[in-house]
Amino acid sequence: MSQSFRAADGRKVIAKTTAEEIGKVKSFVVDTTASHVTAIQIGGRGGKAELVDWANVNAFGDDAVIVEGADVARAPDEREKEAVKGDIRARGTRVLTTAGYDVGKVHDVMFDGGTGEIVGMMVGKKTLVPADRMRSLGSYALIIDAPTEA
Amino acid sequence: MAVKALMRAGDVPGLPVVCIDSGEDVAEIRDVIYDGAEHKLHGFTLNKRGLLAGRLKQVLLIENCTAIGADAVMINTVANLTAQEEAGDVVSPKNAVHVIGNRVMSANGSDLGEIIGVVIETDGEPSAVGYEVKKADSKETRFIPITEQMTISGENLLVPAELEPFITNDLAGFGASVATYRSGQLRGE
Repeated sequence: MSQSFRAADGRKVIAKTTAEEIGKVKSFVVDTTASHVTAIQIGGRGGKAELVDWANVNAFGDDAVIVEGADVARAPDEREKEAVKGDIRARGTRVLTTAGYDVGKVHDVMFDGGTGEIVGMMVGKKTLVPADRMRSLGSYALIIDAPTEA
Repeated sequence: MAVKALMRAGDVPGLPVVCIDSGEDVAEIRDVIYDGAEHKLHGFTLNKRGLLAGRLKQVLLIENCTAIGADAVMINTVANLTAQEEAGDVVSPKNAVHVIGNRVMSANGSDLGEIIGVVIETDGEPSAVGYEVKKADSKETRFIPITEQMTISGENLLVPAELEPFITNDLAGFGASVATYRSGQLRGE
């Protein structure tokens, strides 16, 4: 089931063991190759950032995200802290081609709700860049393959 | 779409140097290392990133550049930067010749103007392809392709007379081609 970062903003996160809402989806952590969602940032429970690893997500549904228990939420590590602070978040990141051209900013990220695999990113509001063109995601930019000349 | 991407070497300083493998900006172009006698672009000296950040002790040799774009100079990985000691003569060539300010003379004796810049081609391996020249009595700049038959002294650049028909003033085409290239890149053409 295809999901998007933008649409998932604020979605309820519910613990399976207690059926309690433990927070809301605030942001996502993406690996450096921009191929997978590695964790979900949860907001709504005090000031500290909390993450749930993708492996602990039981289901990413259209109306709620089900996780195993309330205890799966954890504090971010160093790289994730940057993501949480916003340095390595995919949305809003500038997009550079391997040829050195700035082609816009990431507007939204599409991913597979079952596997967490990123299927593509919207650059601007109109252009979908498929995942196979992505090279890396860093604090400066998302790097995508420059088109091969026809 | 085969648009030749040309750029003024003078527009490269200030661009970030970005790693393709990490998406991080690791340096900023400080200056161009250009060998006037050979008409060859060797690479770039670097600054650290950030306001008021100082000079970086490493240089970027042209063979390690993956691409030079309008918005960034791309390298594969941070290991592509070279320590200045290892770069050796390239950084401070023994036969350094000033290029900017040379008077361009055609072999038949006509003054074609003064060199105000170097034009580089950024497709494939980046290289110097021309000089931008300006006549004292004209606002217009023109572009002279680089050939092996040129001789430079530090005061004058002597060019073959046959080159004159190939001198263009097509600066507008340059800007347009960058714009077309940019949108083509996004569309994946």
